Amino acid sequence: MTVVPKVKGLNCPGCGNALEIRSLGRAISVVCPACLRVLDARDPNLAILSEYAGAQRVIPEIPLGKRGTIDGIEYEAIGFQERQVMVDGVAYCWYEYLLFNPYKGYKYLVQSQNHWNVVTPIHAIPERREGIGKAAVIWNGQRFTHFQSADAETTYVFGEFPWEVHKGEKARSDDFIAPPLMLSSEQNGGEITWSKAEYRTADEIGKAFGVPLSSSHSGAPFANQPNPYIGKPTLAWKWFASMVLAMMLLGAGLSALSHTTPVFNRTFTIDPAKQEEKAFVTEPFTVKGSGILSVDLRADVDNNEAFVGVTLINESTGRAWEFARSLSYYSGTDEGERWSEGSRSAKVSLSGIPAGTYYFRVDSEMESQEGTVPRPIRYSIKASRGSTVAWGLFFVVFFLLMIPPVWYSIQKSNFETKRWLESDYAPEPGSDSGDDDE
Amino acid sequence: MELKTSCPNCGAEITFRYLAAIQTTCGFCKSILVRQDKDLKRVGVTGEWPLDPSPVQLGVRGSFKGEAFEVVGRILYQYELGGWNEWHIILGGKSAWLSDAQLEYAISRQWPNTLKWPAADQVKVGQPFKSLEGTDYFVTSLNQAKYVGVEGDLPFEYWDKGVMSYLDLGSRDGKFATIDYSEDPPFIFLGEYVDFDALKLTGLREFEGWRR
Repeated sequence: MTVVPKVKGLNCPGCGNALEIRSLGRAISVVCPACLRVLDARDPNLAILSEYAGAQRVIPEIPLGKRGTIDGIEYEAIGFQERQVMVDGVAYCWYEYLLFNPYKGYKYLVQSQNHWNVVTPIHAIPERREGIGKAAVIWNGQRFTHFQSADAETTYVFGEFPWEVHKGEKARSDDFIAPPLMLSSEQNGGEITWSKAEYRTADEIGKAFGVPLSSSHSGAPFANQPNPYIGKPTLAWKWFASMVLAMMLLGAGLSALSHTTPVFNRTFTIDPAKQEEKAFVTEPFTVKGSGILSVDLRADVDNNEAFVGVTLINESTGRAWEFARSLSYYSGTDEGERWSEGSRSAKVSLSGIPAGTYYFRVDSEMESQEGTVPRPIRYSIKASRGSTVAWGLFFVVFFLLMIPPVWYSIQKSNFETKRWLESDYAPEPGSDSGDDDE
Repeated sequence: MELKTSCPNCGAEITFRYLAAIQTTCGFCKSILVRQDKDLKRVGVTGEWPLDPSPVQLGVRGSFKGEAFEVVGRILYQYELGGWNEWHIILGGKSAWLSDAQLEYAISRQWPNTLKWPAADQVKVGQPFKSLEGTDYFVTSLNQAKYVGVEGDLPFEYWDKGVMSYLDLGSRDGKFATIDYSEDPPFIFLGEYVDFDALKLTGLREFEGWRR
């Protein structure tokens, strides 16, 4: 079987510089790297198509003739062009490498401020969706949002191309993004061609071509650069949920494990009719160790309400801790259904109670109902010493744990804001001032 | 099964890879030979072509959607972006086409033209054509291509052509249609773009300095 040989021994008719044709008979135009004249690659004598028009020289970071592997396929860089758009009188330029493989065809490698994209022509025609908000296209079942439209002009070109190259050639481009992908349409005359760009880092491209590439950027995200915080808030919220769950399990475990020691337990009956029973003090009791002192109050109220004021008093220092609870219980039958409301008991946790001897002072008040004789109520007070989980601390930790997910959400949204600042949809400077002088 | 005969011009052996071929070329003297009854009539010569770099060549085998095919002939055009090969393939016993335009590959079949198709100059880019074989197409470009030459077995007589006008149509799902105005009524080809690797081609040309 014959092997298609490389084309050898060509010289630029303009300056005599040795030329290499790399795309094996597919080249239509070749631009001499020495004198930048555009030559007719189909002509055996390489007739000059156009003279060098005086563009400033650009040295590509990937030298033409260099090969690299992209998605497992080897490509050779054969052409290079600089293109630019003018936005408000400012020129923004980028570089496009033409890549070639004699079996797999062409791809483009686009470098914009050290952001890289691998660009492939697509055949399925995207479907435009106009409506409220930004325009979009649907392609391959995926939605791409319009990012910007621009008129791109070729400002510098060299190497070889399978079409006739002209410096100064213009095309209307529309970019639609779904990071890390971007679909672009280019309108040149009546024809519209679509291509798909896939974002790559300078490191990936540098490794693929064995060329060190600069990876510093100005900070602004590129149109289809993947948001580095994507998925992070979700992950952080999951982490948060598991931490809270762990904390609750730990708290429950500690509560279950913590043992309490009863220090006081007394039941007494108060007859509201007897004024002298309304307030009294209990006998002293001893509290040892440290931790929470929890007090359980209970009143056998039935269709009435008792108001209980309790003061814990240290016998030797006289220091007092005071609290009051209202205990009520009502029940009845309404349209054949039983109902009840209120609670006969209450639990109070006191912290910072040092060891010592204490007594309670109890002061109770009954709800007075007209026309009824108040009956005596049985009360009980139980106190126990024990280590109870500090739920206040729990809430502090809860909010601290919320910091990472909230931070990631803000970072993610900031990145999108910065991305869209570079688009056609960026707010006009000064447009929020209301009146525009222009 | 192959059918062997000899070239009426130079006497070299002619082997038909496609038994129903109407036209073939002599691999030795480059004569274009058309079948007339049982004889071959020389109608012209393909001449010398410029270097054509398609990786496909006569005898290449591959598969498409589980059906095997063999490349038996081709028509070569020159268009705006260079060479464009329509390789005639026998896919599952039937005539079909594997096109290589700028190394973008597609497989198509001729579609019986039962429609009254508008003239090339009355069609606009973007114009829809609804429901051809159940697919909606849009005109993507109106082009002209220059006939360069033919090689091997073809299902119809095709030689000595000039500039041909054709429409390219695309769909939302990567299908395409070509309306070839070199005949009246125009030839219509319906097909789809294919990935090079998916074709599993064997017997390809080799290129110096490149791995297959």
